[in-house]
Amino acid sequence: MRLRHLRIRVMTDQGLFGVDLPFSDGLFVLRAENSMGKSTCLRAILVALGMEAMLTTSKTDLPIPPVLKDDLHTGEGHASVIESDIFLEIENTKGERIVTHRTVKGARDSGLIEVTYGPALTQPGQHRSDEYFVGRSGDTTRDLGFLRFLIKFLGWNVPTVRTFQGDTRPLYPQCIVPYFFVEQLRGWSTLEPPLPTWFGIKEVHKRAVEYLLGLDAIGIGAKRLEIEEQEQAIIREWSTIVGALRAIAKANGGNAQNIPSSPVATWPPEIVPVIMIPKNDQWIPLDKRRLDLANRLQEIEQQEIPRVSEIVGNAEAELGQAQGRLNDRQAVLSRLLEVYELESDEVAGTQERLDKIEIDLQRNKDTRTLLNLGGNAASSVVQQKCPTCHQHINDSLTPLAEGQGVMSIDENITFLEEQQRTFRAVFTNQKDVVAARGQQLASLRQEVSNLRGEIRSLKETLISDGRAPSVAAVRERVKLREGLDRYGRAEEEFAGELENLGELAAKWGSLQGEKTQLPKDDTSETDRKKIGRWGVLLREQLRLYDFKSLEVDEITVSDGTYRSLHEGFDLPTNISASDFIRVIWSYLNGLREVGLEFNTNHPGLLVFDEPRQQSAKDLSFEQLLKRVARAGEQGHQVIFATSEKEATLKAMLGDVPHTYHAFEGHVISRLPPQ
Amino acid sequence: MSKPEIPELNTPFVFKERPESIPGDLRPLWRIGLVLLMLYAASRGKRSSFGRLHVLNWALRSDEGRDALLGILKGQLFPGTVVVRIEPSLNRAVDFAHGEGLLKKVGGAHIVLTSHGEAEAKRLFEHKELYVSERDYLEQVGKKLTEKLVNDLFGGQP
Repeated sequence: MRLRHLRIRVMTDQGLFGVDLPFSDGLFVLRAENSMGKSTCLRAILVALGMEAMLTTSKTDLPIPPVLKDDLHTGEGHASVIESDIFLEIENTKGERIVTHRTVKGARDSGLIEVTYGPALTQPGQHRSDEYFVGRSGDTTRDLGFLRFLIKFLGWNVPTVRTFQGDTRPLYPQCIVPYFFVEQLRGWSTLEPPLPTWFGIKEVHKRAVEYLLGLDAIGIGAKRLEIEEQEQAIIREWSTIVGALRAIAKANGGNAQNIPSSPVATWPPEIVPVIMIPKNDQWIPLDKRRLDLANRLQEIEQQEIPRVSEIVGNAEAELGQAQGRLNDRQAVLSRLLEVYELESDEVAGTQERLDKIEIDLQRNKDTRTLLNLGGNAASSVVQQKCPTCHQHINDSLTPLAEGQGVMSIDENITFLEEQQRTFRAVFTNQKDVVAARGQQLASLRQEVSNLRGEIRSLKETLISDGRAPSVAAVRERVKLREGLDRYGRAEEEFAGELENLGELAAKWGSLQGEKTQLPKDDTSETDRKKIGRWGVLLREQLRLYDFKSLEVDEITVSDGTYRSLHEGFDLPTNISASDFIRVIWSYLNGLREVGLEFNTNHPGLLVFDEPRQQSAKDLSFEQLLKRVARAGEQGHQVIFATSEKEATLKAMLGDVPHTYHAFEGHVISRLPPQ
Repeated sequence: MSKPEIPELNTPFVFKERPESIPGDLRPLWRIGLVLLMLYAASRGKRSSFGRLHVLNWALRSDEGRDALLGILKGQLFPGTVVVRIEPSLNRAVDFAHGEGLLKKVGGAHIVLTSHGEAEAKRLFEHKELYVSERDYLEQVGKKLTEKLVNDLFGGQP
């Protein structure tokens, strides 16, 4: 990746201003006094690359100084900014060039980047162009997302990484660029580059270094990720089967017990899963219950079916009892039905309310998007002014009571989401109640229907011929057979599902095996060579730049965290401020130089804004300049922006190969009218 | 009888006016955008009568309205059987949009998008996260809702 040309254009009420920076290969030194607009140029580069997430969490306000937004110092006074645009020409490893164009202030949406396919700044001419969006979700994944386009153009094959939420996403380029682009605001404050954290990427520094150095660790990490995903799939399937097992038990009025609720590797488990069935006050295993039924059936089948005349007395008493029970149960049933209807209505009511809230929420969110989108639709209404008479209007289309205010959109969304949460909780609760009631109803209906059957057969017995067989006795036999069949089927289904669990357990076991075979730390032999080389380059430079706080020989780069270590621990915080800066120089330039001997993904570009922080001695800065000046012969590009005194700088640069670009006064200055 | 002393009660009551939550479709910005979409996606020549906008507005407000209008367009429902609700808030939104120069009135009862309004409407229409269900519905209705049908819906008076 090479920067070729930066162009900034600012249209003000006092005419056109701007700057053109033609970058060259090798060392490029940009000099201007403090607060004259150097950093503005470097930030403009980041913004033109859609990298604003490196500098700000705001999605609407670009991290650009006011000079491009509202107020520009002309040298003689101030000018108001009307429109401002940034253009940046870059080149990829194939030598193809594009120009990105972003509007900071003006009619165009700042969430769009226009890409011209060709060197439009250095060789103006006819080039095709397209617009891409940036700064919104999907800018790295969707076809029209600018960052997706950018990484494709640069040929970056960024890895997929895991987030703290457990999902996966591409390693965003905003987390990679800080390793070769140090901006002044935050870049010099931490030993490891400050990476945006709100993407929620796990171990984001490690992932970025692994990518830049092209470590095998990233492949091993990916394998680990894949195993974890398969584990998740097994866990899901497992819980589905457990649900099915429970359902089989429930359908037979029982309870499934001893089922491991999360995957295990040994199968069958020590304690075997069973269905327990209630019998009077006890729970007995299903197979035991089936055995009882079978025994009872065998017992009565051996007797002859009793004749009606033999059992008339008993049957009359039983009939009386059964009828009493039936009346009682029916009364309960009708009360229960009433309650059930009522509760079901409540659920429907809550559902309706939830639907309404959802629609309203969507409309409010639309309005928020419209507001964020900016642009020029209804601009006075947005400012709550009547477009015709310019008097204040409420943010509402219906008249309000005198003095009554309206919630802001954000308040209103929070308010609705709060309501939604409450109603969702109520809804879940109500549904549970109704489900439980439904079960109660079903079992009561079963009971009533059984009682009716019993009464019917008792009555039939009583009115039939005295010599005929007892209908009640026949009914018992039929019921026993039915029960036996039903339990038999349940046992079969249960065993079938258990077999499926067994298969999953085997898969789980082999997965655990694969997991233990992965190397403990993810690095390979080559990886360790690359990191070792990085450590050598780090120490070499620290000596060169006159690092004094610690024994240089004890400083290494960790092959676990890729951080710089002293005697195996993170560098102490009490090293001197200027040594702190020397470590950052050596660490980041070292990372670039590893790419000279090994195959890495480093773009061979290094940008430092004000590298001479904390008054590091002239001597060390001179050494740094000499070191990076080799970038030219190495085929790399190093860009330094500095406010170093011109005479000192000239002396330091001496005869090392470099391009020097200096500004007297303001960098962004008046241009001849177009 | 002696009164118990509760110092906490010895302070005057203070009432504070809280801002009110209003339905999302009553936000001017939202409705102005919707009016633009109605003219952009469901009107011949980006032009419509006022009454016709009221019909679309009524249909879009609720699922019942949406089904009813589709039923009428498919000839499954007789126009005389539904009551279209006229909403004053739509008039206000149209007034605002007019003030903003997004649309203009032609021949008294008709409204047409200005070129500025059309550009804005296009931008909203192509934004995939905005007015999702409304856009789908307007695309379904398309240009099938004729001024004659609107006239029938309002009782058939010429």
